[in-house]
Amino acid sequence: MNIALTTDQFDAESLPRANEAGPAPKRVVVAYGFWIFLLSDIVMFSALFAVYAVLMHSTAGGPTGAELFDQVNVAIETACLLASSYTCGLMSLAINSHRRVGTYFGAAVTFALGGLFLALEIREFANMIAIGATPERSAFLSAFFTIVGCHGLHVGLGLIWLAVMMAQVAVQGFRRIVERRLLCFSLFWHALDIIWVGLFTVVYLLGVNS
Amino acid sequence: MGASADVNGFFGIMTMIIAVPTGVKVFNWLFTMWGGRVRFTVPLLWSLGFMVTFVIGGMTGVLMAVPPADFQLHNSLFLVAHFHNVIIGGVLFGAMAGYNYWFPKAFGFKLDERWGRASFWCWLIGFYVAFMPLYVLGLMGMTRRMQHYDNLSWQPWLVVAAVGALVILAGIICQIVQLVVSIRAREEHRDVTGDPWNGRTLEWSTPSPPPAWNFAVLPHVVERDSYWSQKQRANAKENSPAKPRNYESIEMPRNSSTGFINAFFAVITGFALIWHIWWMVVLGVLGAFVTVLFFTFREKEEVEISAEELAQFDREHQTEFAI
Amino acid sequence: MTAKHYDRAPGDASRPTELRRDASFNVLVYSVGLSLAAILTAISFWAANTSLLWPPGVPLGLAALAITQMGIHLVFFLHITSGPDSTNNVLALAFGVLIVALVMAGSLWIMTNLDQNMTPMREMHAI
Repeated sequence: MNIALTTDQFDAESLPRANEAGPAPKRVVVAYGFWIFLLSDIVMFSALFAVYAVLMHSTAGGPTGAELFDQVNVAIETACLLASSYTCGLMSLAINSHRRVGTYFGAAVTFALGGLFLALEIREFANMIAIGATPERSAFLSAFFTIVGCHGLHVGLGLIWLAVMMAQVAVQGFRRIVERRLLCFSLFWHALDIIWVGLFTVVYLLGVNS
Repeated sequence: MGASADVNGFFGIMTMIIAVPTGVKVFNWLFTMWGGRVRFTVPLLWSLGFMVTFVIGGMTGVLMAVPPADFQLHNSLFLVAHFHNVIIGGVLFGAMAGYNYWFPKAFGFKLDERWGRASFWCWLIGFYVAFMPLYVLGLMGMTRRMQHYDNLSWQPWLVVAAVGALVILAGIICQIVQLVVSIRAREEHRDVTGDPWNGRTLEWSTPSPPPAWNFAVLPHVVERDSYWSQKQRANAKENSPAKPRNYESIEMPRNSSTGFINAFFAVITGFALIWHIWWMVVLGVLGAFVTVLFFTFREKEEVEISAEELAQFDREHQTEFAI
Repeated sequence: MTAKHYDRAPGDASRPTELRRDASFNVLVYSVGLSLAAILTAISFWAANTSLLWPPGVPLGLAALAITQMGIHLVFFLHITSGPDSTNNVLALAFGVLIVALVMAGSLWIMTNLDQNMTPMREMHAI
């Protein structure tokens, strides 16, 4: 299609108006932008993964992953996060249908499961520090605490965000902007679970092996 | 730097590959002037300075991409001269071109031409006098970040470089003077048409400075250089009446001070994290959080500009060609 | 240029112009995703702990399982599909994956290279 035309060659009214197709709806634009942010967050995590992969054998005579990691605990944490991703999905369906009770219930279960994950992780960290496996003990432990801690920080911030969003739904109802923000939250929450899949595989399962 | 031959080779090749699309870009920039009548205004002087200086700097970069050469020249003044060559040529000269070009659109009056020319020539000459000796010094073995040196043969080159730095200082002073003089004489330099450079692109069809909504009516674009073509046609037929414009109300985002206030809390948080002042960290994070909460719960995100307000503004700020 | 097409937001279950599918279909999508992910997780835990597999092959198997599970999440929870609605999202994801691959592979390659080539420090004199 030749776009280089002059006024003599066309009738201005017959061409489709520039704004007929229009820009994409706000929901699409907002979610796409948030998706790009999430990808950048995943790039940051990949850098932390690279650091961990390089340093996982630098235990400086201290405790190794095989000695420290409790697989049952990790399995429960994984189940919590996976289930919370599922309930987050159910919450999204309730939001799309503007069902308040379903939304609050889905959010509450997601929050509880995420909170349980975080509690188990904090307990794991506390136990490790109590026996002297602190971030300063070895490069392996520094890398471990950094990447797992960073993920946990994201989960904690996500829980705060979820609580604020429920307050928003309570005060303002299902306004378009509230729906858009909840869509971003569910993107965030699912991405966190995706990162956890990588984390438990590389850190815990491979750590047990070597 | 401790890596084996294949890593060094990989990086050498990747660096040289950068030069290929960059070369394409340089031809793009040159061809924007091809076939036109070039007016040597201040923005164009900066653009020409950018093209020449950036190409020279890029060439020394490809020179250093060769691993054996890089082994000698890495962290020497040759490297310093190279990256200043590309950054000052590329970023700074380009930024100054943009600054001079769009200043009238943003602020409603043009910058003084004479002081602009003076600042350009001082910067250009000063840059070459300051940094070309550094290439020589790098080849002579002088490294970067030296606290003192005892090699007398370097001294003459460093003196020349210092003179160049003073010429650049003169260029900076000229820029400051340019701004002061232009602000003082802004009524003489006032941009009343919105199109002080006889431009080709759509931003020149708005008044200077443009309103918050930029375009009152969505421009009807059917061809490349649409604004330019419409100007040519309007000039050809002098007495065509202005078409009545169809104003529709526009929704604009509502202003908010959240960003500004949060920046303040971010500074506090960052400072406290560096110095381990934990109570201040909590204060900063809480302050930022509460500020964002206020923003989150605001009732309206948008403000509507009515069609009457658009028409009124257009009447008061007539541009030469409304597209 | 005038053909109309719609873009889908990442994470959105259905196109805005389609009629909303009945709730049970959407719940089924999430449930299938959950089940598949749970199965893959269980297999991963088993593979890491069993003695039935050839040990040097276990890390590769775990990586494959992890990548598959990430794919399950993307399709069933985030609704990233191969349809024309999702093209922009897929392109962004592909670019992200490229950067992740470069960062991981590049860092590991260079760090092993340096590890092999740089002289180890003597134990006594730590800098």
